Amino acid sequence: MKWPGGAFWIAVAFAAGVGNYAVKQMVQGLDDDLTNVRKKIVAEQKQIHDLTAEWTYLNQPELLADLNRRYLGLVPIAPKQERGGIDEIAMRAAPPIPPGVPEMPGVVTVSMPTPPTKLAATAVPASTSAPAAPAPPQTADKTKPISLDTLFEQAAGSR
Amino acid sequence: MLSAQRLDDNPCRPRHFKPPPCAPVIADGAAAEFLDTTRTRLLLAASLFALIFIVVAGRLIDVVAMADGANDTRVARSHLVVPPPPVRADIVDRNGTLLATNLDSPALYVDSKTMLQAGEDPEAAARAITAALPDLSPADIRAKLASGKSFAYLTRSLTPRQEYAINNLGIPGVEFERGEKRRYPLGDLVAHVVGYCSVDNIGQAGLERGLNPAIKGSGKPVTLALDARVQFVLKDELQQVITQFNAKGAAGIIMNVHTGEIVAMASLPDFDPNHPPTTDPKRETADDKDRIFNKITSGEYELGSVFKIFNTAMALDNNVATMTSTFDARNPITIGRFTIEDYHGKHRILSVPEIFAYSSNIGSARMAVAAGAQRQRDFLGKLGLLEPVPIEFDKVEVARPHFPAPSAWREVNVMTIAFGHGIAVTPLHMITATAAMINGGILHPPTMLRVPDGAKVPGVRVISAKTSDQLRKLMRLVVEFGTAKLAAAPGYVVGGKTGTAEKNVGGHYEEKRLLSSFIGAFPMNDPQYVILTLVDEPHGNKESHGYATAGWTVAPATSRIIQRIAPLLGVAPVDEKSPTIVNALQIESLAGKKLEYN
Repeated sequence: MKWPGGAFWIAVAFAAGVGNYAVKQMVQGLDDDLTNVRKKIVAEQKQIHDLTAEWTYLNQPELLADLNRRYLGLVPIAPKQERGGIDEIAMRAAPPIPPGVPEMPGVVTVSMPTPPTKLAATAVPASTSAPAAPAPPQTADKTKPISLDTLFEQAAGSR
Repeated sequence: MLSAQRLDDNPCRPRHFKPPPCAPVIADGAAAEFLDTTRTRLLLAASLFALIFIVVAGRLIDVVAMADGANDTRVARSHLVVPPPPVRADIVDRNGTLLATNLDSPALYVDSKTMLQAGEDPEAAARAITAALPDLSPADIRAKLASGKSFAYLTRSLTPRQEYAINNLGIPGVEFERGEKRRYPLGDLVAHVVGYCSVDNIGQAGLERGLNPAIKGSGKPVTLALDARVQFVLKDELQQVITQFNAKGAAGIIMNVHTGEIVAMASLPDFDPNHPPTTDPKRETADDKDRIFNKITSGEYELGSVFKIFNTAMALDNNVATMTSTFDARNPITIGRFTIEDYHGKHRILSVPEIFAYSSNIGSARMAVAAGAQRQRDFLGKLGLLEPVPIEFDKVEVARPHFPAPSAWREVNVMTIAFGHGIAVTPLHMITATAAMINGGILHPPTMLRVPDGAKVPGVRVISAKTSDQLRKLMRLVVEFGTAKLAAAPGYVVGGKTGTAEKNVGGHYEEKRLLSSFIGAFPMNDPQYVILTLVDEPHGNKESHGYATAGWTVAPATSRIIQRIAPLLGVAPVDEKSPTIVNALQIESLAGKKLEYN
């Protein structure tokens, strides 16, 4: 009668030991994974830091100004183009969605404004072909936003 | 049991001694069964322990003899993995643009003893190293390699490419020492603001020096009030002024009038903080000194007519004069060996707005005399113009103003100080006090650090809101009708005051060596920012009709600066002809009066 009881407890102890060992191994494994992930985070943070420094170096205003002079010819916004603040300048209306293209809910298509350079000359006819928002007359109420196209036309006219 | 009883019967047996039984006890029956069970259990326990020891031994063999990289992580487990704290914290501008940071940059050293023991030829090794690092002197490297010493730096900073090249040489005894080097990604753009560090990462100039404890201690980025974009515009325009007028140098500063935040500060010529000029007195040249000198905080100048802002404010705020008061400016004033005359002389009696707009020295001197030396000294003291400006730079980089001692503050001093001569202050003094003149009358200490949104800004009232309002109108008048018409920027309601001072060289004022300055603010109906620009020894040109005065040199530059930075600073243009703005800046006494253009 004593032997089966002893065997039972030995089995329980052995199972508990094995279980304990397995849990410990699993925890160690997880701990190792965590350590490795943390090491990777630290390494990536360092990489991000180095890349930020490089990005800042490559974005020196002097360098960008030189690139702009050579390739874009953008000029600062003239006060007459900015009546009421930049935020109040209306964006150009989005081009119509071609037939057959499903309309995506919640997505607003916004085209970038064209700078008042020779590029603008090619951009203006394209916008006129599109059903753009009706441009207000030049004597429009100043409290209402004026479209950027109108402002650029005015600016070009005044030069 | 019987034998035990018999032994106990012996009366001579000591009570504490109990002899063992003389014969083994033969177990039988239940006792035999008990012994058998015990033996089995003992065997089982021994087997279990043997098994455990085998497992432990196996694991030991695995760890010691068959170890691979996987075990490294178990060693690291006990350590918390965190990035090493930077030697110095980053410095960023108000938009988070990196201005100063630390990058890994190992140093290269040689253990010459080891190298020589390994049989390496110092001559060949020096040739290989200098081929990879051409900036190093071959003779110097050769001497260090052959010295036999156990440590000598070959260079304190290597790029990753150089490190790779040297590592590839595989020279025994040539080793790397982990280290960081301070880098300034925007180069000379923020040279005088940020300053630079020594090879040991100790701040030597600028905020690197002034904020050294904070930068070394916290590890958190230090956020400046500076805006790198605005800084670029300021520097770009100042550089144009230097080129255009063949000037010796120029400087500029832009401040938020409500918080004292300095959003841009430039002093030209400047330097690249990644390769700063030497400060070793033996090797330092005049050019090095000039480039490293920050005109804004360290330069003291007799700024000339821009001081009339304070003179007029003093007279108005102390009720010595009103906007309708007049002063005789018909004839020059001769006092002692000095003769005070007007550059734009009208030779008539002028009102206070006219004195300001035409920058009359005679009128200003008479106004100051009416106030008296005591009031003048007290007023300038209240504006902080008689002591160094409290700012985050190290005190050795902030100049102490020069002015007469109270006992020597005579009438002639009162007169010359009225138009900015006989007192030398830094441009930082000038802009700080001017901000108080137009922001409603509160003097805020200037700061290079960003003021958090909504934070309470320290300040002390120095003039009444009414006087401040009057000064706004007067400064607007100067740009509309006075000496600074070229400073106008359509839509931004610019106001300001010009100052063209002859430089004092060896105790004499030299007519041809000018310091032209302009202090302007915008928009004058609700001032947000104030700008001070100055150019050192400009020369007139064809476009300026030979003039090198402030109205022709720095005033137009200020106009361009304002037009470029206003959109960046969120100041929207307005209709300058709108009744609201016209009424806000209208000087009642001049309503309907036609002013003479200069």
